[in-house]
Amino acid sequence: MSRLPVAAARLVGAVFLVSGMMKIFDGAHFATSVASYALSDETLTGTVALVLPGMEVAAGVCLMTRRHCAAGALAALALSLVFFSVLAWRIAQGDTADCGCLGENLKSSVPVSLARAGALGVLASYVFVHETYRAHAAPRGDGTFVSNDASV
Amino acid sequence: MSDAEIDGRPALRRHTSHACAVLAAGSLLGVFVNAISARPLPLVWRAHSDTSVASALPAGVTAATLEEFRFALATGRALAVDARYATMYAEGHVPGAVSLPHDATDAAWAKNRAQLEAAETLVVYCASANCDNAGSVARALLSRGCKDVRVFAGGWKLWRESGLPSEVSP
Repeated sequence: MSRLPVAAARLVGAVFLVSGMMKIFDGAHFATSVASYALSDETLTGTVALVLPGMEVAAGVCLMTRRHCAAGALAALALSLVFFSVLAWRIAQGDTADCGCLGENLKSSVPVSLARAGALGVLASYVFVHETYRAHAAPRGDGTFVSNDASV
Repeated sequence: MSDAEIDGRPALRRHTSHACAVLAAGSLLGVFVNAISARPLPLVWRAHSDTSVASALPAGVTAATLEEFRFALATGRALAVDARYATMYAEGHVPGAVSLPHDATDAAWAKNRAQLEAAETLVVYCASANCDNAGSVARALLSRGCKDVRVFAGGWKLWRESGLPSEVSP
């Protein structure tokens, strides 16, 4: 029962950590990808290209280490929603080429990345709900949790 | 235990504030990694950052620093224009640069006109900070209707000294 949320947290954390690390050390390439979306004013392209991978890494570390896991899951959920929205917008524009989501070395088409962002968002939601619920539950003898709230 | 505590609202608020802190820490991490990298990207693209060079440029031409030049090329917003002699260009130039020698501007313009006119921004460079050919070629580009023309004052010398890649023409 309690292994599934841990596995989900580790999976989401690993994906965010790896994709963030691949982009954070190759800012110029990721800046190219950000610029191709033409979503923000060009003066902010560099800022977005530097800040987003850092956020991914921070959320990934929280989920992988399970320290501040709920906060990491919520951050991952927010990032997944942003990525999902941007990728959906890009598909609506008719562009389905490489999205630049995983850096220069790992190519990933926009539809595949959209599905991945959606799946990560669902998993992050699950981890977040579980972590929030667990905070209001008492441990049972078998290591699983039972809610203190009778209405649950 | 109050109703608010039972339904998890305090926990939600706490997790939300922690998530904001995680994202803020991640932002700082990204900025820090960029700051310590060998070739940091500019956080903000500025058109008039190098005022000491800009004062010596023709009217309408702005200066670009090395990092701005790199960033503009990396994001595909700019086309590099090599104002040196064609022989120097052939021996090595900024990857993707178009040769527009200061002594043969008209012929080179005719040959590369479509590419030059299609570029959002043109960044001209010559041999080093001591040459003024980039300025004269930039002026020629402005007179031909190019809107955003900048000069990379450090020139080919600074590009090479910074260990950046080069391209050799066949």
